[in-house]
Amino acid sequence: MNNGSKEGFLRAETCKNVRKTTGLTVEQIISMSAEEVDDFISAKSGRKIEVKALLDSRLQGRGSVLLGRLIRREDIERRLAGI
Amino acid sequence: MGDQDATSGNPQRWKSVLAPRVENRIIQLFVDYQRKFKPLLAEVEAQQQCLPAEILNEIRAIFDHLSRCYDPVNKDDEEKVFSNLEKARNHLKRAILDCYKTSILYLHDEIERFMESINTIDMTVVNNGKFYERLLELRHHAKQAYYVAKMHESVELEHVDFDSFQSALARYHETADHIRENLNAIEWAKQRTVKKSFFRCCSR
Repeated sequence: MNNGSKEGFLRAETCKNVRKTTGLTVEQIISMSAEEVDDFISAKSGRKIEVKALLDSRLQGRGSVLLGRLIRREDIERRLAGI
Repeated sequence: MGDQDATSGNPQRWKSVLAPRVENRIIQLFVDYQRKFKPLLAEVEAQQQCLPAEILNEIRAIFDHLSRCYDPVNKDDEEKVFSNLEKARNHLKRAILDCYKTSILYLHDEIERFMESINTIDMTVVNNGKFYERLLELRHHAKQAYYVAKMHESVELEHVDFDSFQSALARYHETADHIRENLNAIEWAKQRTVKKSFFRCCSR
């Protein structure tokens, strides 16, 4: 999978931009778990990372038709609490 | 979960080792996931403050195809294993492509919002007019780079040129950086425009 760099890694300028946007180097991101990355980004912005359908018409639609009808864990817990 | 009985019979069969050349392709998939996809996804999350469901759906598909490689029903049929591996690889490619596109769109929208916000501001006073001139130039280059990437984007994922998407994203970052670096001067220009229009109103 050629992704533009000689060693098959991301380009230096892409890595630099990732660091600028996330506050983490690519090496740090690789060494962290997905949850740790999410926690870091959430702490930096003060907003919790949530799963959300972007539903942008400019992005080619693909995949499950249920993408726009995501059920969050919080919603399930709330409904369960009401039983 | 691992010791539970699998519906297809003996769970031990699920633990069987696949042929080395299959394992090598799986390892390559994981390397690409870690070194290419994960940093790009982190960038998307930091920009959007969310994990896009569309990308999550691709990850689910990758995991599904990978697990099917180990399914006793498929694992002895090398053709099926390779077919599943290829499908998993294609889903990873789509996920990477989605990261590039989502980031590009995010920056594009930010830049266009900024352009709208300076519609009535005299930008010729910022850095002797050089700021605006350079901004238009960078914005044009970013758009052109994206058109090139889109042109190279083929229905056949095998031929998708990730390099051109990487270039387009870098150009959009360059444009956004140019705006950020001049924010103080832009703010000053905004205030100056407000003052000018205020005095113009007063003198009527």
